[in-house]
Amino acid sequence: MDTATPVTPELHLPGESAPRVQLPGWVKISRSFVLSIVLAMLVFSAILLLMGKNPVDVYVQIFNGTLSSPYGWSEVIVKMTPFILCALAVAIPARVGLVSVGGEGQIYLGAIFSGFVALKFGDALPTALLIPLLVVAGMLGGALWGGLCGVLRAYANLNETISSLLLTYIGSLLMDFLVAGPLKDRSTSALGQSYSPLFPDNATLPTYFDTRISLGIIFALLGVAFYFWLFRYTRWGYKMRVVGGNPEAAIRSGIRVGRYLVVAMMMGGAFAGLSGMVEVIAIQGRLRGGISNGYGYIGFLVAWLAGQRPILLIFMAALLGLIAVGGDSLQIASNLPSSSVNILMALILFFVLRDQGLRAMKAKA
Amino acid sequence: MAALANPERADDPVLVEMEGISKTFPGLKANDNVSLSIKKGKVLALLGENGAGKSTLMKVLYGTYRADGGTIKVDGVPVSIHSPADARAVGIGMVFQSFMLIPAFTVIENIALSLKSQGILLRPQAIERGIQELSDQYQFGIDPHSYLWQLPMGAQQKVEIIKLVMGGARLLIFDEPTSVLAPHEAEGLFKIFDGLRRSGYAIIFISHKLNEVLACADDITVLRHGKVVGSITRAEATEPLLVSMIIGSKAPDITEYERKPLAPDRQPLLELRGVTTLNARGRVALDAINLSIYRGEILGVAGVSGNGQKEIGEVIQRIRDARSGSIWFDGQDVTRWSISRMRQAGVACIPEDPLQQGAVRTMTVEENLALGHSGNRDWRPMDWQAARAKASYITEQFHLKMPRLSVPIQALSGGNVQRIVFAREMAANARLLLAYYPTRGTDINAATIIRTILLGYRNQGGTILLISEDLDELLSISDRLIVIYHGQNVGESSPASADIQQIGHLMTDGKYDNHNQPVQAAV
Repeated sequence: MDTATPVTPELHLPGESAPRVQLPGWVKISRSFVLSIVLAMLVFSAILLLMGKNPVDVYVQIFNGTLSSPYGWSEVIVKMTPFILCALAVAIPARVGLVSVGGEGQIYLGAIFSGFVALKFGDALPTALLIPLLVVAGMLGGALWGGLCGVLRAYANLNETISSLLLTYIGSLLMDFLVAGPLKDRSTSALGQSYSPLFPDNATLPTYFDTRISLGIIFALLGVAFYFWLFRYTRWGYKMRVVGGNPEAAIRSGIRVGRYLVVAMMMGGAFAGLSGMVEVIAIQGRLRGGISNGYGYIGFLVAWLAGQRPILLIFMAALLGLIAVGGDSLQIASNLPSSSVNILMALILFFVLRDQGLRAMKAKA
Repeated sequence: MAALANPERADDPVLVEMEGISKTFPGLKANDNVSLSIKKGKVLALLGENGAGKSTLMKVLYGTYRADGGTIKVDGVPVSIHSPADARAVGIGMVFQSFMLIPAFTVIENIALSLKSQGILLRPQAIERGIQELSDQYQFGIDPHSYLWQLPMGAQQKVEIIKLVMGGARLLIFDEPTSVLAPHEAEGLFKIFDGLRRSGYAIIFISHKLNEVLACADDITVLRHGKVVGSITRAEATEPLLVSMIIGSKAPDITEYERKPLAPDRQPLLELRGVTTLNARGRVALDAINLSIYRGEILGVAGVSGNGQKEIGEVIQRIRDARSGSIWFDGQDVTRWSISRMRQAGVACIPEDPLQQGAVRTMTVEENLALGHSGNRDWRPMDWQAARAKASYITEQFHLKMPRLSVPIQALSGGNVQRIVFAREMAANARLLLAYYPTRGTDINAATIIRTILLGYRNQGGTILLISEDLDELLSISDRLIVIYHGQNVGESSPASADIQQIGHLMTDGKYDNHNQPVQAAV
């Protein structure tokens, strides 16, 4: 049936001008972004001064020290892998309106699952067959951990931020338990150590350019491409954005909100799990506690710095990767704890969020 | 309690005077030269249908809105009220439908929070004494140490009253206070009104329930279409008089709508058989309701809002479960169907609150136009080309003025969003359209256009359930009209033979006037 009567008069209210639209240009955004970073660096300088360091030296160390050598560049790319994957673990749930801080725990589950596969089948299967298996195992572990929060949220109304945070502790403690018990390396050389035996040689990811850059970065970039495609082109992504944008309208238009909450948490968890897989298979070569170095939390920073935009996600991961690598060299050169750069990362997030908040307030007024 | 500002006027009975208040929203004159005088020790009832301008007027008095024109005098002195704080400073307090209290706090803490005079340190003993005194004086029976979440709604309302009185209010405004109360609690509230009145407080009581107004008011002012219809005293008031003031002597709808005759042997498209459901607060909203919508008709639903209108639509769309009874659509039992299955079977809905219930602010016009039509197979790509084509078809068809389809709707006005949602649901080619207040907030021209479109849809075979508070609208385009009251279908009539007085009685107390009965009882 055609809906309208032959002559449909105009549906336009008097006294109402054509709607105004104002979208901030890219110039404006990048300008305020650079400003945020500069402000963060200024505040960090003050902290450095309090610690008795010359800020200029420190910044030169972080940026120049890292970017002047091919090794430095390669290490930035190595760091980007977990940052990007863990940012996806935050960004996908964020699109349906969930705040997940559970990347850290999902990393451990992905590491445990893939580590188990590596130990069990590493001798029997060739690398080409093993890699897909490791990928699936890692993603499955993370998806399980993330999905659990999703189920609790969708069907028991338990806040996903709390549950994902608490499951993080369980995840990392589970790893500690396994490497101290069932999966512990029993050889005499590992006496008193808590880690698993080394994985068989087949269980590895190819590395490139004679550096630590592995297939992992390809997984990360593919992950971003998937993320972009999912939300831009699929019905699934569309529905997830509706759920995130207005759950009530989603329910009323027939979208099963609970299902999409669970799926989003599972997808996010899968990417964090993949990051855990890359970490143990490509970097560590065995299961052990403390593998994550807070990647899950840095992923959170990356995702919110990028405002969940795919391209910005890669850029932000690179920026924070640079700072993280610089932090490592800082320890050697300036005798500062490497974690002191976490302060800088946090300050950047603070100023970027402040800037976004200000813009949102302006838009409302 | 609070000091009088102007001692020589102390024996003047008028406390607050509003003169010539006007307030215009885009396309709508909410208050048109309204005057009101509120006397000390009296209860003034403000009556009118939803959208008559009661709430706007009270928001002007309480400082939430700023009037375009007119003056407000307190004790004969003109005051300027630009914010609720200003209103409280001159002794005007308001009890909202949703209470402004903190559930995790005790009564004492809630009161302390509201008192300006508190310094840095809490003085709980003094506040407790104050609460206790008021509680004794008006028999509130409130334990100052109980937490708010422990208290029933009626008691929370009393806490609101204590809060206002201790804050120095001399005029208390109650915005539909009984809508959140059980019947026995409502009677308790009227007793409190009595007590407050004896102590010299002035009260404004907003309601659209006649029996309540007659039970507690001293003066009654009726608003319609933003204007004062009349102000009378309780002694002059009778139910029929009030009904005719509220509904008005029906102005004939000058628009002649083209209307195809209905087929004589129509079958019901949708039936509710003895459906009972609860509302969001867990109270019975639909009480074993029976309702049939026949193919090709517009069934109008009249009723005071909050009598189950919202839940009828939600039950039909399967958003809300029926506790008992069954729902039949096109001869099939759909009681257990999913929301999306109902939509695909051909049920569309123009929701009551389009922005909240039918649109996503952060998404673009075309993305919003695709809502509910994105299909089932999730892995399939979104067919944006088709969606875009459909979107421009819809916007052209309904003459929506959009700068671009790729604009997020948060950049558009509320009226435009309303039109987008309306157009989308009209274009869904549904077999049954649930239309909630489709002309609310629009001016007469736009309303006429919307009604024309609805009738065009009907003339081409569509079926509409029209829920509206505008009786004129219901009478001008419905084929049949039912009245719901307390979740029941209490009467049915055809618009041609409808007796406004009878409909008014049914709407406000669910009963007929026994003297003549042109409205037939529903099956």
